[in-house]
Amino acid sequence: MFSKWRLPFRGKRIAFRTGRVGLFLILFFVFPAQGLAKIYIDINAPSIRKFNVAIPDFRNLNKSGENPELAGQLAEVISRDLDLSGYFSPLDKRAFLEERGKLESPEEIRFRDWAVIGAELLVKGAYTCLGSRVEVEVRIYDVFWSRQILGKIVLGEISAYRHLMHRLSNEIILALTGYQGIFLTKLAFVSTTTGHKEIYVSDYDGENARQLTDDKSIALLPRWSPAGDRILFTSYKDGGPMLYIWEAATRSIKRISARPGLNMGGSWSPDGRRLALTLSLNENPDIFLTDLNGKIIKQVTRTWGINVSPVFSPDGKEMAFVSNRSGSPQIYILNLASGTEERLTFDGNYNTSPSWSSQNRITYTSMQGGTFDIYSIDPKEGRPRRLTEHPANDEDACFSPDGRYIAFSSNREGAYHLYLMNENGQNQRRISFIKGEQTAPSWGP
Amino acid sequence: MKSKWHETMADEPTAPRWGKMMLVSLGFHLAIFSMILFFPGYTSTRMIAGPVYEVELVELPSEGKFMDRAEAQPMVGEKKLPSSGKEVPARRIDKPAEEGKPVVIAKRTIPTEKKETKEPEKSSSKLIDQALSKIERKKEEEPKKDPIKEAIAQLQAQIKRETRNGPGGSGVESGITIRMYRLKVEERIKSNWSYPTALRGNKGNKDLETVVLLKVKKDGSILETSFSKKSADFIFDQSVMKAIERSNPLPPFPEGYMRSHEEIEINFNLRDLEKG
Repeated sequence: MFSKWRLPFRGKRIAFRTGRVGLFLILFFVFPAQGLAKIYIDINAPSIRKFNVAIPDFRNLNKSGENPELAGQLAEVISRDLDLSGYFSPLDKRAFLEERGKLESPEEIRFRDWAVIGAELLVKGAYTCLGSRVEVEVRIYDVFWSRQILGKIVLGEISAYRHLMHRLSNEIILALTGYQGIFLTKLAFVSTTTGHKEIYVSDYDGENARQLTDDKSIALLPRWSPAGDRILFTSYKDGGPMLYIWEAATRSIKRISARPGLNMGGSWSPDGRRLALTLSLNENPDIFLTDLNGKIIKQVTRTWGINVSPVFSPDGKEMAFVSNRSGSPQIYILNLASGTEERLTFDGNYNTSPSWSSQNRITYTSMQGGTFDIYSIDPKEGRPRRLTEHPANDEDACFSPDGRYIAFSSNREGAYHLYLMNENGQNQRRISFIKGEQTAPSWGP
Repeated sequence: MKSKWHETMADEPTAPRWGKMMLVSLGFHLAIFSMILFFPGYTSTRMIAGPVYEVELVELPSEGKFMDRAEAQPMVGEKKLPSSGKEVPARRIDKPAEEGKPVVIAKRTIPTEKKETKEPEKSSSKLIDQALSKIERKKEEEPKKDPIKEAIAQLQAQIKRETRNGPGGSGVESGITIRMYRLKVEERIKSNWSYPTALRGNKGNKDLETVVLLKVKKDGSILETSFSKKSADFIFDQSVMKAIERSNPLPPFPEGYMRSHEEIEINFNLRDLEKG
């Protein structure tokens, strides 16, 4: 039988060819063509746009249960901080299940109870009072992976508990986002609480507002120094508009420019050693560079028209200011070395109050369509981006020192109050609730 | 007898004979297949008892009249063959919109099996395309969004993107089921994805992109996850990992999808946030 299979050479080749063809055809019909069998999916946005965080009341570890109010107060500061950061969404406490015992180790916490209400993160704290001081311990847990991310202990005066908690919030933000927190920064602003416009200072969240001036006149345009040790402001208390510096160290106020005409609205150079002011001693309001005593170093603008509101670039080499030389107030960029000036804003016919962030972005107030709104723009490329769209007035925008947040003044609720938002316009939240109207915020470190 | 057979075999060259036989056999097979494919009339018919209905698999909203039923009708002709059995008069049945409108195309007998499976598939996908284009037009008039429209738009987008996908299975029919499956998987993972979008600000969001490759079993359980591409943001990548882990097990493969495993590549980005 096997003799059949001893084929001559030519026959062998044909056999192979047909065999291969046959095999191919068999396989072709048996296995349908798949091509690339992968399935492709695009997901272009998360459905949950902030981390849900559960912050139950802190545990009172005091033997006789002193200061029970701190349980809620301590948690509330952290909750508000995380909320104002715009990255977190604190969950409603009423959804929380019953608390058990003190700070448990990760193995003891029933993370499923927290996962069930949608928490991404869990913040658990406990405190012990020692005389006038309190020691607070805080732990942050990742609920889904059931593990601790951060554990910290802080100690401080009970009366300064907010400051203590802001420190913890800064640690939390750093651990969870890699960014430095803003929770210990300060605001300076104008408020009419007493019936007169006076300068006030508060925490970044509007709490602990303290009156700085008491001149019963008109105080305007406060500006923190880059180091946060001084505030420059304008006041009419000695007659005309003059410039003053309040010094934190001595708590004293010094007048630095009392020239005839306007002495107004300055800003600090990034190194904190020079000021840019508007003076009208030559009859035309122009921008001048001075030292911290008000002595003129250089006149920076010399055109006809009003030139005001100077603000330095983060590297100190350029300045943004407002000029109406084109017929309407617009924002210009000046190169301090070469003296060249270039117009930056072209939309609308009222663009003022620039603020230049450390992230190299400029925010300003613009009137387009009847009300004031806040825009941001790139100093090099232009391309304005609208940040507020409320039908009321939103103005006086100023960046946080890290450039990630903006404080502004808005009368969307009737009277002017201070608001915070992320630098991209998200999460606009009111933060000043004191009597009167609050305007002209300046954000210090 | 054996030797005789050997003898006759030894007389002729066996190699060409064997090759020739293969070719002849192949030829016959091809002829038979071609006859079935191209000359269906010569094959026997199938009798269908009872009225014939066509049912949409996808429920899509409409403003009133869903679409022209008349359009669908001519596609399936009224063919009557002499050998057909019982004839059933065509009836149009009107039912409430929620339950879907079954469409009686016509009294007909299906000539071949192949054609039967082909035509309803064509008509249902054509129906969907027509409905989608109507909805597209309607969407232009009504810019207000609602969840159903969003789902439809997503379905549309899925269909548009379908060119990127391979056949993914045999036959035209799996095209739609794959689309639905992809949509289900996308919805499931997206609903479990949590990331603080304010984190990157304006400039950073554009570049964030993470691509993950999943190996999934037929029952939906994820066997393997790997990053094909990571973004510059560690927190973004972590949020993507969590989204996938939370979504395990995924919905099982659709019926008729014969593979036991599948690879899914998912591209996570923030492009939807860049508008406005």
